[in-house]
Amino acid sequence: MHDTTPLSRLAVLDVQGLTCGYGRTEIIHGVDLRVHQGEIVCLIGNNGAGKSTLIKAVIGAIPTLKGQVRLRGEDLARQDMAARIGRGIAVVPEGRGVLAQLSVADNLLMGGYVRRGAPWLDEEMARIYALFPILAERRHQAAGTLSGGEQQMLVIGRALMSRPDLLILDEPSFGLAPKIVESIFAVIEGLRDAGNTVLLVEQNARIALRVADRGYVLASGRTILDGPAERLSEDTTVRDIYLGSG
Amino acid sequence: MQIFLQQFVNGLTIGAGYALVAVGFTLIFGVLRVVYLAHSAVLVVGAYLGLFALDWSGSIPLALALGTVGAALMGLVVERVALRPVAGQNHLISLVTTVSIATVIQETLRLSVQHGQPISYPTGAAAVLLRFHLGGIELHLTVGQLAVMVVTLVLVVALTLLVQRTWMGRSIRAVADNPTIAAMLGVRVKAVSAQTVAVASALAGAAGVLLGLTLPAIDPYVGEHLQFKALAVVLFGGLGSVPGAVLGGLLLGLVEALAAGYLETSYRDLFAFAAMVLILTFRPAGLLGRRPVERV
Ligand SMILES: Nc1ncnc2c1ncn2[C@@H]1O[C@H](COP(=O)(O)OP(=O)(O)OP(=O)(O)O)[C@@H](O)[C@H]1O
Ligand SMILES: [Mg+2]
Repeated sequence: MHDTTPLSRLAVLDVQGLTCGYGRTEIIHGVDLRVHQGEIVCLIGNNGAGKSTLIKAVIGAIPTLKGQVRLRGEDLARQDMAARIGRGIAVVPEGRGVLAQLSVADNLLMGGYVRRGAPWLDEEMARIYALFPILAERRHQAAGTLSGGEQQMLVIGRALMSRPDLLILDEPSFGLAPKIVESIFAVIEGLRDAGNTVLLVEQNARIALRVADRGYVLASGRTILDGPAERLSEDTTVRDIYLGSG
Repeated sequence: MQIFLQQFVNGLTIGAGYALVAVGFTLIFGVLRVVYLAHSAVLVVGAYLGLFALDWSGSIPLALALGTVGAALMGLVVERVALRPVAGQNHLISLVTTVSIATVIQETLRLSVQHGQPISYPTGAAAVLLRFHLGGIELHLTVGQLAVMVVTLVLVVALTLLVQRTWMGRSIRAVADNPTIAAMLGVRVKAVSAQTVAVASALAGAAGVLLGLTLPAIDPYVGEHLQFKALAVVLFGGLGSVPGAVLGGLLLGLVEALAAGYLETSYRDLFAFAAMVLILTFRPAGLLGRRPVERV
C-alpha cells in the first residue's frame, strides 16, 4: 500500500489556512490540505460545500483572502493563473470544459500551451492517443460533438499534455453512466501508478475513496475530517452522510 | 461576355477590400465579443501612412509595410484605450468608446493633413493599365487593382496559416471558443485579445493602402462606407468565420460590380444589400456560419 502521511515526504501542493470566496462572501474558511508526490488525494463533500471554490483559489481563478498556497514549496501568492498553470498545475474544471469548436487534436495541443515549443509535445500526444484510442480516431472531429465520456477522456488527456506536477480533477464522474465512470477511474488509478500526483474532487465519495490514498471531507467551507482513504470509508460520519449506507 | 468578365474582375478588386476589413471584424468579434467601430479609423491611418511612404519613396511594398505595421500599432492603442477598460461591460459601452476613439483619430487626421481635403495617391506605377487577352476578350486592369488581388490573396493565406497552424492562432481560437477554459489552460486572455486586434488592424491597414491605390483620392472618412459594408458581410458570412468573411466580401464586391455593369450604378448598394437580406433569410447563421455547438 501507499505510505500516506509522513510530513517528510515532499508536498507537491500545500494549502495552509486558505480563506477565499466571491466578493464579500467568504466560502472557504481556513482550510489546510496537502497532496504529496505520487498520491491521489480526494476532496469530498456535498453540493455547495465549497470544493470547486477551493480549487479556483488554488489555481488563482479567484483571489486568496488569507492563508497560503504552495507548489513544491514555492508560495504562489504572487502568481496569476497563467503563471500557476505554467508552474505545473493542470486542472480539469467542473463540467469538463472542452473547447467545443476546436478539434480533438487542437484541444490536446492547447493542453500543452504552457509547454509550447517543448520537444516532447508530440510524444506526449502519442501517449495520450494510446491511452484513449477513441480520441485518436476522432482527432479531426470538433470536440463538442464527442459523447460525455469521450469529452471527459479528452479533458483528462488535455490536462496531461503539459506533464503537470499536479493534476486537479473536479468531478470527473459528473453526468456519466456508471460503466463509463468505472473506466475513467481506472484511468485515474493508472495515472497515479505511473507516478502522477492527483487531487480528485468528487461528490461521489464511494468511488473517490476507493481509488484515493488519502481524503479530506469538506463541509460548509471547512475540512471536518481527513486521513487515509480506508479509514475515512469506515468512519461512521462518512458512512452515514456521504456513503449513504450502514 | 466582355462586360461580364470586366465587371467580374472589378468586383473581385472591390470585394478584396471588403474581405480584408470583414476578416478583421470577424476575428475581433469572435475573440473579444464587442461591437467594434474603430476599424474604419485604423484603416485610414494605414491609408495615410501608405500615402506618406509612397510620396517619400515611390515604393508600393514599402507603403504596404508601413501602412500595415502602423495600423497594427494603432490597433494596439485602440484596444488599450477603448476596449480593455470596458471589457465585460454592456455592448453599448464598447460601441461608444470605439466610435469615440475613431472620431478622435479621424479628426486629428483631418486637422493635421491638408485640412482634410481629399488627397490622391501619387499616380505612378499603380495607375498603369494592363491589358489581358482572354480568348478574344480584352480585359483592363490597373497595376493597383492587380496589387489588391495579389496582396489580398497573400494576406488571407497568411492569416489562415496563422490562425490554423501557430500557437498564437490556436490560442486565439481557444479564447474565441471559451475564454474561461482558455485561461485555465494558461492562456493570458488579455494578451490574446490585444494580439487579435493588432492582427485585424494590420489587415485593415493593408486594406487602407490598397484602397488608396485604387480610389481617385482618400480622406479621413474613406473607411466609413467600407466598415458599414464589412459589418454586413460579417453577419452574412457567419459571425466569427474567417472563410465566411472572405467569401462574403468577394461576393458582395461581385454583386455590386455586376449590378453596376448591367444596371445603373446607383442601384449598386440596393442590390448588394438585397442579396445579403435574402441569404440571411434562408441561412440565419450566415453563409458559412455554424450553429453554435452545445457547450456541455
Ligand atoms: N461564481 C460564484 N459567485 C458567487 N457564489 C458562488 C459562485 N460559485 C459558487 N458560489 C457559491 O459558493 C458555494 C460553494 O460552491 P462550490 O461550487 O464551491 O461548491 P461545490 O462543493 O463545488 O459543489 P458541487 O459539488 O455542487 O460542485 C455555494 O454556496 C455557491 O452558491
Ligand atoms: Mg463543484
